[in-house]
Amino acid sequence: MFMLLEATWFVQFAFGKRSRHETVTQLFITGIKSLAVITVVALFTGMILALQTGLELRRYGQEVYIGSAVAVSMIREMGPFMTGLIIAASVGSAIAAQLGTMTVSEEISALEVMSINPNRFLVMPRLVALALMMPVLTVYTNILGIVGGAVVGATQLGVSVTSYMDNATQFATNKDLYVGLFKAFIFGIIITTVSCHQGFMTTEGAVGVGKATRSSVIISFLVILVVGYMVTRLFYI
Amino acid sequence: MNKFTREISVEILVGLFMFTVLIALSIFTIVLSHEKLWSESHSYEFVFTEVSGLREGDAVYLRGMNVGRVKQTTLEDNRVHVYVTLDLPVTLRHGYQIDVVDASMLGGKILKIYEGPDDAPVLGENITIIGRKPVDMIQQLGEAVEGLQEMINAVASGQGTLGKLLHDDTMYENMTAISEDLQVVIDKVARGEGTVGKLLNDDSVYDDAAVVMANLRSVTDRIAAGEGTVGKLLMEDSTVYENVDATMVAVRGITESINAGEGTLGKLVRDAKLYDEATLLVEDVRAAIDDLREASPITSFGSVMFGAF
Repeated sequence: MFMLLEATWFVQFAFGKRSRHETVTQLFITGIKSLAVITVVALFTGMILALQTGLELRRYGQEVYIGSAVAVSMIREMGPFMTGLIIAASVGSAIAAQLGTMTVSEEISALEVMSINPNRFLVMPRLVALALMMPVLTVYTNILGIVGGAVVGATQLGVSVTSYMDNATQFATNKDLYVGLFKAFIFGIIITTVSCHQGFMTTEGAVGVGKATRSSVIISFLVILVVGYMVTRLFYI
Repeated sequence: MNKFTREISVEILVGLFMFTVLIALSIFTIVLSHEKLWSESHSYEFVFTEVSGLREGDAVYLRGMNVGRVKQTTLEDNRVHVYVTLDLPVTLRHGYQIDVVDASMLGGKILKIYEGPDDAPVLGENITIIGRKPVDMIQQLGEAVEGLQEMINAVASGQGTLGKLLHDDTMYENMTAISEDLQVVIDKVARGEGTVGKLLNDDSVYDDAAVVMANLRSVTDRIAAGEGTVGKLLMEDSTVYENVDATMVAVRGITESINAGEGTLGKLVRDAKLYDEATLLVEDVRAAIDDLREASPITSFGSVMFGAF
């Protein structure tokens, strides 16, 4: 039901001009301001993946295959998953806190009094921004993760960058890439939906805002995990 | 920075970031599609009866080098049509082989191309290129296990040499008998019975052999020292040789003289007159003996008669 309502608001939003600035602002907050943390997390995710799989593969003399292990893992699962977690923890929690504060200070009620649909005014820019930015950030995470794996391969495991890249592109397919991006798109919608819902449901003043923030992060994490599994199952089994 | 400028900056930043990532995504897509947009590629179609799980994107190898990828596989008319894209043109000759083989022990498939012998004629245009049926390692392993099981069953049921070895007691009994016989022989030898036993237990043979060897050594020492006839013959001093040589020269002179009819022996050998005279002499002597034999009774009678007087 909530998804259906969101779809309706999305149509109204798409044909409106007032929310463009707010959407760009949300894109900036979601994308550009999250770049630093995503860069670090993506690089180290790729490095850890390469090191762990490389050390095991080295026992069989097959460390050259870390390229494919890292690339396929990042593109299929780790890229969208890590990006989703970071955005849920940073942007999602901020959304929940902001909307929660607005709710407890009755700013939402004021908007309604002014006949401004708070869902269209507050939720849609964030929803569109996250739905657009999550796949973009996932591509960025994938690239940095693969680069991080290449660095570990070249410096720790003796796998040349050329061999690593050849191997990385050997087993990964476009289906893996786009299924991953689709997951990221879904995660963006989930994070916004959960965070906005928790924000609007906030009660009990500042304590409630804290609870809403915490709940939005926890619920987003859990839903991302479950939906991630379901999307994988949908496309690969 | 006023609000308008800040808004423009934010939009430009967001736009630039999204544009950059979209370009990266495009490159990513092209790379993962394994298509080479800026280089020439060559498409081929191979027909198989079976491909054992060969998939789109699997590598194609020529002489151990990765030269392309499987673009598509389709099942048509009970045949699998495999379309490949290669980075270089391949000239197939009669005797070519197209195989689907395992990429590694862990799985995966690759397509392997062998162009055919260098001296074979090149394949003509529009000829369907047939791939060989892949070897199913699992199936072969299953057959090997099945064969092994049959062998084990045969052995278990006592068939064949190995089965008889395991089930028939005859060989064991024979071995036991041989072992017992061998033990008897060893006991005899240990007791010093028989030639082998004496050889092993009685020192006299050794002592005799030692004496023989000592004697032999004494003889060889003497020979080495030039003592005795053999020693003198073998020693470096040529006196004996010279004496023998002189003797042989003398003997030769004598035989030559005899051969020339010189001297008594030569005349005996060469002169027939002596032979004739000897023959006559023998005949005369025989006649005289005959006369004497005939006259002997008369002489004896006369001697007896006239001896009384």
